Order: sequence, then structure tokens, then C-alpha cells
Amino acid sequence: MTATFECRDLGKSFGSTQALRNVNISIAPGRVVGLLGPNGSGKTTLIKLANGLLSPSHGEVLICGEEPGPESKALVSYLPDKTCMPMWMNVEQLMDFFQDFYADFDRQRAETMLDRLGLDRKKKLRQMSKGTKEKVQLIMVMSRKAKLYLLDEPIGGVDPATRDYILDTIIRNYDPEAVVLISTHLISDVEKVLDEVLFINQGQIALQASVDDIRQQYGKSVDEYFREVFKC
Amino acid sequence: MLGKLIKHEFKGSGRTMVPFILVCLGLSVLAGLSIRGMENLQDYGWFTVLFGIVMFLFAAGLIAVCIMALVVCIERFRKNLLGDEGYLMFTLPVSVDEHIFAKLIVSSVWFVATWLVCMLAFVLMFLCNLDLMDVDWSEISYVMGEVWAKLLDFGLLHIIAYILELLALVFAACCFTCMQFYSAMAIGYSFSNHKLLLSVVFFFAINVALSILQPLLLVFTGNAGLLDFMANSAQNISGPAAVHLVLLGAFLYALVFFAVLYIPTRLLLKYRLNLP
Amino acid sequence: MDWTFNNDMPIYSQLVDKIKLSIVSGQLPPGEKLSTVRDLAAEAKVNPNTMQRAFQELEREGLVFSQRSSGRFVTEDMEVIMEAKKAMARQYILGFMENMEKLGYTPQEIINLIKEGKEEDKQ
Repeated sequence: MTATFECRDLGKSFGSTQALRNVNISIAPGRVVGLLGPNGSGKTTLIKLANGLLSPSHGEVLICGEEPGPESKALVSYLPDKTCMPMWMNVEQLMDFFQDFYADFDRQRAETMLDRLGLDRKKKLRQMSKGTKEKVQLIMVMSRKAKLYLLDEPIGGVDPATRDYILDTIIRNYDPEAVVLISTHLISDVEKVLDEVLFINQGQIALQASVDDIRQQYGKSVDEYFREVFKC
Repeated sequence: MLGKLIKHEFKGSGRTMVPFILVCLGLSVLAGLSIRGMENLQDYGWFTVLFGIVMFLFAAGLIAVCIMALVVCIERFRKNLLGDEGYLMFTLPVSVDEHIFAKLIVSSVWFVATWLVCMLAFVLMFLCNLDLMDVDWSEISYVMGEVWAKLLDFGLLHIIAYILELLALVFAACCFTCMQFYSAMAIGYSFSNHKLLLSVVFFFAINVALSILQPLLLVFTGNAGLLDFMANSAQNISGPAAVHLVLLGAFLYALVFFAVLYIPTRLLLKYRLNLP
Repeated sequence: MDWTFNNDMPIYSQLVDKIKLSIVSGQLPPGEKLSTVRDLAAEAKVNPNTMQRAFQELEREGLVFSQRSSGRFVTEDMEVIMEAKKAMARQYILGFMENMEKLGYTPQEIINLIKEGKEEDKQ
């Protein structure tokens, strides 16, 4: 079976700094994976490489066996670590946009989630609070039946109630055959929703393991184990 | 997918351009009416001031709509592709070429549209000044008929071909103009800092390079036999054919310079994208 | 159900324990239809795969069974439920005894203490 997400000897340099090196990852369909690492460890770089927003300096990254390009992008649903939606659009227009470009966009699902938030479809994104914008963006991303969800810091900088809402939305909506890759440094919050974790440090993958294996083997939570491994 | 990109590009740029165009046309009507008022009123007085303001607004509107077409062309590329929205756009299942061409096509349409709007504005102003009752319609239809007969005489096929060639040339020229900005921004925004400043610097650098390159290309092609070819052609081919030759030649010339800017731009956007 | 988790144990085994407790205590009566994996996972805020794994474990132990079309149910076999109840009780006692022995009590003293505690409760 082809891995949904695979990196082979992946490396990325910006000038003289090596942001990623010797990254080898393979993730089978149906897994929820946490990409965990301190700030500046290369999490966003890895996700951008998978999206084709950056090109590898070395090695390759494959989505369902394909290099990043229009074909792979049709399979990937990406939540950037900032709001990237055109601010002049209203929710209705944003849904039209997603529906036009993504064959796997499930509008009904998006409508249901928006109803739950009680959002006015005619309200422009510009007029929404930061938290609401982020929720709308998440709803768009999770309303696709993608093969790979790349979520870059989905719970960074939001209040605990929103954090719960976001994790709940992710768990309830991802396709069971898909891979969900969640990058974050807030481990204790996401730990419960993960199957596997990838520890990344200084551009290298330090560990790929299942959450329950870590708990079984070390008798501590992933969060505690992470603090131990990355003690400074 | 190119079609969808173009559709959304029109939505994104239209919300700035359409109001400007409508205001321009409205002002032209207003200007026409006030000229008419000036002619009919016996005692102007305060009306002179109003007239002056309307005419000033009319002229300013026309200039503004032309400037806006250029601003929208630049800003749509800068904000939509190289700003935060780039995260959304460059993760669509669309190729870089489709992105650039969607922007080029829509910008060209707005360039041509503003030009047409300026013409239309003067026509409207003129029409508002006209007493439709006074117009001798038979005269007009007679003149139109004459023109049509002349066109048929010349060869309708030639005329159609001219129009197509001219459109191609206009499109290529518009694309080339856009690419000067796009390529400068593609380079400037591939750096991490001072993106906008570097874009401006590169815009001037590219312009200088082009102004050196253009005469060089002419000299080179001239030496390579273009001059001889043209001299021969001038003697051997008919007038209409010579016009075709000039139009197509100019088109090819624009195309070459377009390609010179396009290729590095697409490579930069594809391999050296550096979103904020 | 209370969905808080300890840090030192795998989440799936804690899920197994929680659901098992609901079954043996009668909170989930025999023959009761269970929510879908996805819903329960969302309720517990855990990954559906983890919930799935917990259910597989419970199925292996015979406490729940799934019917292909209609979903998952609590077993109606009271023997299995009582067995599980006893096993859990034994486990609690073992843990309790361990702690008491650390305090220096002998098993007989422990039994006496329990009896005394019960008398006091009655008064």
C-alpha cells in the first residue's frame, strides 16, 4: 500500500542554514499524527514542502505517491498558521470558491458546521473577530474529503474553549481513510487525539512512535516525555 | 481550472474596477449635460463654478480609472499571490502557469476596458450634448453604407485578419507590460526582507535592461537579414500584406520580450516562492 | 461518563476500564446499544482509532459485541459481566492491599480495620 505521506531523505536549506535534513517519514492511511517540536524546529517548513509552497533542496516528499503539484494539491487540505482567506469575501463567497476548486468539498457539511456556529453567510470575513475567522477557515479545510490534512498550529493562540471546538471539529470530520498531520508545540492539548507522534528538533526527526506505546513504555504522557527529551 | 481562476480573478478585481468605471461614465453624462447647460443658459453666474468642478471631476475620473487598472493589476498579483492569500492560492490544484495567465488575461481585459471606457465617456458626453431630433439619420446611414462598401472593396477577410492581429498584438503588449511588474515582484518577494523596496529596485533594473536589450535585438535581427527581407518585401508584396507583416512582426517582437520575462517569473514562483 | 485520563497509562486501556466500569455498574445495561466509535471518540475527545482499539479489546473480552448492520451492543451474557466485575474488584483489592502493606498492616489487621470502619459507619 502506498503511504499517504512520505518523505525520503528530505532536506531544505535557506542559504547557509539547514532548516531540515535527513527527514524520512512514512505515514499509512487512517492515522492522526502529531508533528511536535519546539518553535523553529522545522515544523512549518516540513508542511510547506508537503504543500509545494517550498521546493526541497534534497530528497523528495510524496503525497499518495506523487510529488507536490496540482494533482497532489487536490488531495491535500491545508490549514496555514495564519488566516489566508481573502478578507473582502463573505462566507457564501468563500464556500463558492472552495466548491469551484476542490471536487471533494462537501458544502452540506460546511453549512451544518456554520449553522452550529450561527454564522451569518453574508458577513464579510473582514468584519469577523480573529477567533471566528480561524474557525471559518478550519470549517472550510475540514469540509473537504481530503486524503491528507495538513494542520499547521491549529490551536496556537486560542482560548481553551476554542481549542476544544477545534479539536472536536477535526475528530468529527476527517475522513477515516485520510491522514491528519497536526503540527503544534501544545502537546498536552492534542495528545489524546493522536495515534502517532513525530518529534522534530533542529530540523531532524528525533522520534516516530505511537502515543500509547510511549505511555506504555515510559509510563508517562507524551507531553512529559517530550519535556524530558527536549530538556534545556 | 484556468476558467475558474479567471472567474474568481474578475470577482476579486471587479469589485474595485466596476465602481470606478460606472463613476466615470456617470461623470461623462454629467459633463455632457453641464456643457449643454452652459450653452443654453443666458446668465451663468454660480453655474460656471459647478461647470468647472464637473469638468475637473470628469478629467480626474478618466485619469483615475486608467491608474486604477494598473494599480489593480499590480496589487492583485502582490496581495493575492505573494501575500497571505498566497497560502490559499498556491495550494489550489492549479499550476503556476495558470495562476500567471489568469492574472495576465484579466489585467489585459481591464486595460482594454479602461481604454474603451475613456472612448465611451467622450461619446456619451457628446451624445448628451446632442438634440437627437436634430440628427439627420439618413445622412448617418448613408455614411455607414459608404464605409461598409469601402471595407468590402478592401477585402473583408483582410479587415477581419487585421482586427485579430491587432487584438493579439494588444494582448501581447498588455501581457508584456504586466510582466514587467510581475517579474520585478517575483524577484523582490523571493527575498525575506525589504520585499517591496527590492521589487521597486528590480522594476527599474528590468526596465533599464530591457531598454538596452530592445535596440540590441533590433540591430541583431537587422544584421541577421531582417532589413534585407523588409527591403525585398517592400518591393514585392502588396500594401495590405505589408500591414499584416508589420502587425505580425510587432506581435512576435512583443512575444519574445514577454517570454524573456515570463520564464524566470514562473520558475521563481514555482521553486523560490517565499510567502510571508 | 467521566473522560479524564491519567498520564502514565495508554489512553486505550483507560478507555477500556472506563467503559468496563459503566457496564459492570449497570450504567450501560446488558443489551444496550452503544454510540458509534466516532461519536464516542468525539465525546471523550480522543482519536477514533484509539476508541476503536478500546472496543476491539472489549469485544475480545466478550463484554460487547457488534452486529454488522445494526451497530455495537453490551453483552447480554450476565456471566461474562459478573466475571469482569469480579476481576475489577480483585484488581482494586490488590492495589488496596499493596498500599496497606506499605503502611505496615498484615492482612488480618486490614480485615479488622475494615470491620471497625463498617461498625463506625453504622453508628
